[in-house]
Amino acid sequence: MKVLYLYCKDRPLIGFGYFFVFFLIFLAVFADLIAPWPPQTANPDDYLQAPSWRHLFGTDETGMDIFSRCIYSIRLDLSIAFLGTAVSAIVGTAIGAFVGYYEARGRLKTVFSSFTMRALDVIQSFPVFVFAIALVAIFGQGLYSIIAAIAFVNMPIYVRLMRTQALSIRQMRYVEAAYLSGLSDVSLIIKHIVPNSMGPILSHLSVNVGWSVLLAAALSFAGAGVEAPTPEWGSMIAVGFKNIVTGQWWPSTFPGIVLGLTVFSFALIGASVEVLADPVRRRAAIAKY
Amino acid sequence: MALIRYIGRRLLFVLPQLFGIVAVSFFLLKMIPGDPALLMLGPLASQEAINEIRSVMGLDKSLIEQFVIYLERVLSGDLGTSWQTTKPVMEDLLKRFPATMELVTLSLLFALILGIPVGILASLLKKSIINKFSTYYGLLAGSLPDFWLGLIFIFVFYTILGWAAAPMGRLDLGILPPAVVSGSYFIDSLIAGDWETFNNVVAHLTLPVLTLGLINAGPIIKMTQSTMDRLLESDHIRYARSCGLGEFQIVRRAFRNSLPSVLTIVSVLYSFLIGGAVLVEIVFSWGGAGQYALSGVLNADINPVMGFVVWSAVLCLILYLIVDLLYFAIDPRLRD
Amino acid sequence: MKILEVNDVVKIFKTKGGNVRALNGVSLDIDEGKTVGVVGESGSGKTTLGRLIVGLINPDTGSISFEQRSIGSKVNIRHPDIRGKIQLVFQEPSESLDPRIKVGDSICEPLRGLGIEKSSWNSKLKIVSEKVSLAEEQLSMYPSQLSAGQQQRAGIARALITDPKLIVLDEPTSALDPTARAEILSMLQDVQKEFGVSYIYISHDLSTVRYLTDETAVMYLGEIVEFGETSKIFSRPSHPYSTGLLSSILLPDPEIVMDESLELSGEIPSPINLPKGCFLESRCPISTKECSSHHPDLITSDDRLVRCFEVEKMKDIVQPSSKFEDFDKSFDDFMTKRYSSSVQAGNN
Repeated sequence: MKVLYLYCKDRPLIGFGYFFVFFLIFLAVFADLIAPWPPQTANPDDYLQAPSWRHLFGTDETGMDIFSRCIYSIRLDLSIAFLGTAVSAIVGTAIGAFVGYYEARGRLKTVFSSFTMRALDVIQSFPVFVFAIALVAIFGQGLYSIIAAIAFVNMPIYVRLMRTQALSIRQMRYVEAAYLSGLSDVSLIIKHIVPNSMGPILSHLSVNVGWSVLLAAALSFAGAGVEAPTPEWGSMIAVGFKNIVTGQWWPSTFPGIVLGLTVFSFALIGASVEVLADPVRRRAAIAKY
Repeated sequence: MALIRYIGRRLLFVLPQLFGIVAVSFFLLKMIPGDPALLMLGPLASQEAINEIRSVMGLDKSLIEQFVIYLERVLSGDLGTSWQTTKPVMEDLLKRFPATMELVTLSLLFALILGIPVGILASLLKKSIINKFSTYYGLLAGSLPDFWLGLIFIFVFYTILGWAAAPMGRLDLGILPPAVVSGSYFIDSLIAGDWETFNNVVAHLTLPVLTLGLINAGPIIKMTQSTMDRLLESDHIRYARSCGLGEFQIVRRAFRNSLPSVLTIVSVLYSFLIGGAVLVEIVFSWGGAGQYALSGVLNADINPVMGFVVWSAVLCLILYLIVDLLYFAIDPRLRD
Repeated sequence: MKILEVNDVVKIFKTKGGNVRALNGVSLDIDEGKTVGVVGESGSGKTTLGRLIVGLINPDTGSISFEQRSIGSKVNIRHPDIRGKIQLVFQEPSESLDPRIKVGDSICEPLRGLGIEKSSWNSKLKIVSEKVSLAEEQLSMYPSQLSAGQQQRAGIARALITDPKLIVLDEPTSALDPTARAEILSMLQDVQKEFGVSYIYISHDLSTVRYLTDETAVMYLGEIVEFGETSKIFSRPSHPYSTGLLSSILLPDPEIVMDESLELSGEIPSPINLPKGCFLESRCPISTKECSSHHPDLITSDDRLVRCFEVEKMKDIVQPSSKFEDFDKSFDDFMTKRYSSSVQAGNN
């Protein structure tokens, strides 16, 4: 905690990243108290109002308050991103640990490893975004499909990260000692390999949450994700799309700014985790204190 | 000779991968709930047409047999028909892929022109503003939704300032497209020597290229900067410096050696953008392949989606092959 | 009684550069309660031999039997019948304990595989940690909070906790400073006296081999070139390679020097491309024509086994010498002093 404070003291932008994420979570939790208008109630009298004190971010074509909708979107977008990232990290880490541990270890295990890696190559040669949309189309449009699609397209990174780690950790003497003491492969991986490989995975997690928010919004923008009138940044941008040519910029602009700041904050946190998770770089970063 | 062997070895890896791609797309197709015949022909299909497609696709046969039939069709270039356009998917895609490739290629060229000098300067001038800027630019550019940035550009440069062409496709309505040679209006109008058309094409390209270029310059700057940092610290550059080589010569050497990693990041971005440019295509009504596939997904028109997936995977593989050949040209170590 | 018999094992590692012949037919027996030293330069295959004995790798041909029971790919060391009876202590103390697990828990880990009741773990832990003089509070620390010597003690405690019959010590002291080294060696001796465990002591540190072992096997390029009682080999080595190796020990007295005519010169042949004749031929000062055309067998010569055509010649050149006895004495003194002082320090 103290290290984090010292680190942010010199880097106000990183500090902002942490602040903004906590702020978002605060807004999401207390959305009911903070949002001045109901997020999904159309108000035809107030349609396409420019930003004012009454409507801080203006209203969209059905008269819904954009500020309130932006706040309620946090709940949905962050939940999708957190869940999607968590699923891909857990599944990807598990697969990666086995792939790395089994590589070049007995015929059957090696076949398993190389088959999995080739399968990853194939999956990764699909265009990410269209693949995600196709997955949503296959699973049927809905929240769980979006989460599943996000989890699926992010998974290969975790498999690769974990595989590289497992390949080096399995050489460690304590892993050999555990192997000799008769531990089964599964408990050996759970007890020794995974806990000692978490560094790079943790620093990727934060960046990945940001990407997932972006992907979720993009899916909704394309019409394959959350549908209006449910408040969601991507679909709000899509709704405001046709107004922008005629000069009403606010329905698309504000959700985009909030979305961009959110992703940026997670990227900043990710960048700091990368430094802070490495003891050597951590010490160098706060050396002068 | 070494080159041929190198390509041969690469192809050996590519073929199974292509097979894998076709297999995965086939099984994705199979996972879609509902009657595939109905999905292919659309909701208005007659019963006879449905029965016919059933027997053509062998839907009454085993899964493996169906896969073989599918494989044969794909290999012969038959990707089925889109019920939305009522044309063969192959024909549609041949028309639309050049639009996408034109957009993506020009955007990446722009990103390179912007990214490489900034990356080099950021690496050379450690204490400067440009160094701080480039550190955060990468993070920021990666955080902005490209579709949103495109909208903002439309608002600023079209709605308010009126500088840019209307975000409605690749040409003004009154202008006829140039004679088809490559499919890219940019190249074809140049070939035809039709300057009026060319100017109009460029006007329409400006905003989408700006959008994608600015966003994708981020990773290019980051990669250029970090490899240059590493190389300028390397022993052979230090040695060159201690020999009294001029600063320009040193930078030139370091840059030459950083080319492979820049190439890598460009190839990754390229393959990502073939599918990833779809949202910007929508924003500017570009009519590219991604947009075609997306409307397929959203309207349960499955053939265009599968066709697009197979096509873009093949394009990616060709791209990687080209990149490998470029590595071969840049990196003398690969030659023996 | 023989506890372990290694019979003509061959191990070849396939690499991109070619097949590395790490072990070329090694045979070795160990009696109960005894210590056999395995010495050689790096690349001689001594570590491979140790890893093979504990079952981390399997031999290509040849057999290993433990307590008259053949072990290998089918019944390896992880098999419930043998599990815990052979243990291994690693060279790198910092790598041999999981950095995220408390030292005490790491020491107890082998008990899980033996299916021993958790309630009795603590008493066992107490016995072994006392044996290796680890304090109780150190057991609840993480490995990074211990010194290299303490980490190695924990590694030895983990080996001892299963009451093994045989411990393979793979250069257990090479990463330690002289004080910690002396303490560990004395401790190993005490443990052997008390539990009757056998050791295979793999090391390139000849002075510690001389101190700890009953018999010594000198290895060169995946073969044993000389095998016999440690004191006899050290007082009068019979293989040119042993002579060369022994001359490389830094003796405390500069007056004691080896015969220069027996110095080895030249490069070690690549284990990928071994010569047809004697592997030492290119470096040997007394090699003959026969040495380059035929590969010598391991033959009995008086009180030991030697792999050399010129054994008789060696007998003439190398006279029995007592120079190591002086050295031994000073080394013994050093050890006893160090150890007793550290024990006292521990008690205070």
